[in-house]
Amino acid sequence: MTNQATNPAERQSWRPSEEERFATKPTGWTRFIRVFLPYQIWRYLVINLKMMRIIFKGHGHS
Amino acid sequence: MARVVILGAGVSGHTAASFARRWLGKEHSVTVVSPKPTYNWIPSNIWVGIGLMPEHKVVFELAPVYAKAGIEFVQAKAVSIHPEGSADSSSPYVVVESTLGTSAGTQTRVPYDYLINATGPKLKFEATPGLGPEGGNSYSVCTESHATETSHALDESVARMRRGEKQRFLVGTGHGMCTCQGAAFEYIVNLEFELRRRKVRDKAEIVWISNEYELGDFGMGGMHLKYGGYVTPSKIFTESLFAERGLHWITRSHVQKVDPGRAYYENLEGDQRQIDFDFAMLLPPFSGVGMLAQDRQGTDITSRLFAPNGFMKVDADYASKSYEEWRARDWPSTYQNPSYDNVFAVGIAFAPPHAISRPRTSKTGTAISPTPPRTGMPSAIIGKAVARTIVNRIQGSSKAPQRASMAEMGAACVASAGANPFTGTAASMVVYPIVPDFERYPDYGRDTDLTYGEIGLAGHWIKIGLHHLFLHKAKLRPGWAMIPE
Repeated sequence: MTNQATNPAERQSWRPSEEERFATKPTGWTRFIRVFLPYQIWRYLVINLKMMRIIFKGHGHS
Repeated sequence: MARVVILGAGVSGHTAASFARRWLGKEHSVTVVSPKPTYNWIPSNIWVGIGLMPEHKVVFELAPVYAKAGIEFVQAKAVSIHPEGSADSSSPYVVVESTLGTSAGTQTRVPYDYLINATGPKLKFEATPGLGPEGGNSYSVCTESHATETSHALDESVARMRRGEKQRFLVGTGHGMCTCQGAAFEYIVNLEFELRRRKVRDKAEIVWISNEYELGDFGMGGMHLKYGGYVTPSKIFTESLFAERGLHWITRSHVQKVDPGRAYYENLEGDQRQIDFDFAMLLPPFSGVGMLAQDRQGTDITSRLFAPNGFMKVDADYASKSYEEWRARDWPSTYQNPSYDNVFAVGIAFAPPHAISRPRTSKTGTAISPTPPRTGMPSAIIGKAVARTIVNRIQGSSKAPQRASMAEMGAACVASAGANPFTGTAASMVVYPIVPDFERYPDYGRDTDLTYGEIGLAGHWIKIGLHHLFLHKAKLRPGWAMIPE
């Protein structure tokens, strides 16, 4: 096992990192489009095609 | 007549057995040895652990499926491999120990001409004191029964929140050398979605903890995606999703100990920290299952077949190298053991030559970096390729062994981020190649025209489709062989 502080009081308790404030966040439009049915039907087709391309490219070969 | 023996009935072993049986004539035998009587479609354990799917929807009995297909099934765990046979016979064999009913504990010999080691990992909860559901203080979704136990614990937490109590959820990796960050990622975003659905999200604080250097590493060194006119690292997308969902995160950390309601961890700076929790779902590190190997005289040759971590050596370059010297060609392609060419290892059971993510140690010398994933789509492709190699050899073909290097194949992955047919989402990701090749793709190690990702409802539909499609395939129902891995 790795080193551990012997006295639990020496340990720092957790608090959220300041860095979290700087994360990119999606706009309302992005969140809307992620579940907008007509657009997602289109994306369903596109993603399937992209995955099929990888499937046929990546299978084992002699 | 040739005997093909497969140790393990997970994604890789089951795929290898199914195709070997399909391609071989009935004069040859295919035998699967597995300690459990059931097949578990592990990706859907996430939904079991959230309480959205009962356990029986992700497992099925193997014996009737194999009986129908003509595959012999031995419910037992493999104990030792004897690739040179014994003093009285040169026929190689595996010693297995029954896990079935009254015969449990009985050891027998299973002879083979070709052996595929597909045992998967040992869930090494004991690497972190207090980790895991079996005598520990955290939950897991690694098996269907773990996932069910986790969902019951979640129900209790929800009941407390409905009574007005606040709850802190801790989700991630329970050790500095874990892999499978993707499964923990799926769990945390599904958990957040489910708590909103149960209308208790305001009472929950949800915290991620992992050994990744940055969010979105997933043990693959992260990935770069073309989006909005930029090539953007997966860290940005993952942080964005976490920030949007109000999830906090701790990265670059090794969980040292899990007490009831408190996890102790160390970060790369060497800081010793602790975090209290009401509910923790922390994945364990993996190792090989601990099989032994003996030569004809009974001398231990375990180190000839297996790496020190218990995974089987295959045709990889295991020379010790610095991160800068790592090459994509270090990765195996035929999965053949270098000492015995009729022994193969597939899926998690093969020893990777090194990590994919850059290895890091803390200031106190603790290794804190993800080990490489080799589950799901690549493990099935590898299982099928090895089955083809063996079948070719049995049929007398002079073809070279089938190649299926993770540095030459892509992977498609759909990570559920909320299960609802109208409001749910999933992250659909495609990477090519899985192991970055900086000689072919100097900038990012991967082809940015093929590597791709997006979050949306369409991904959830695909995830649902894959659940049904892959269970159909695993049950060897009509048309199963047409379904790609």
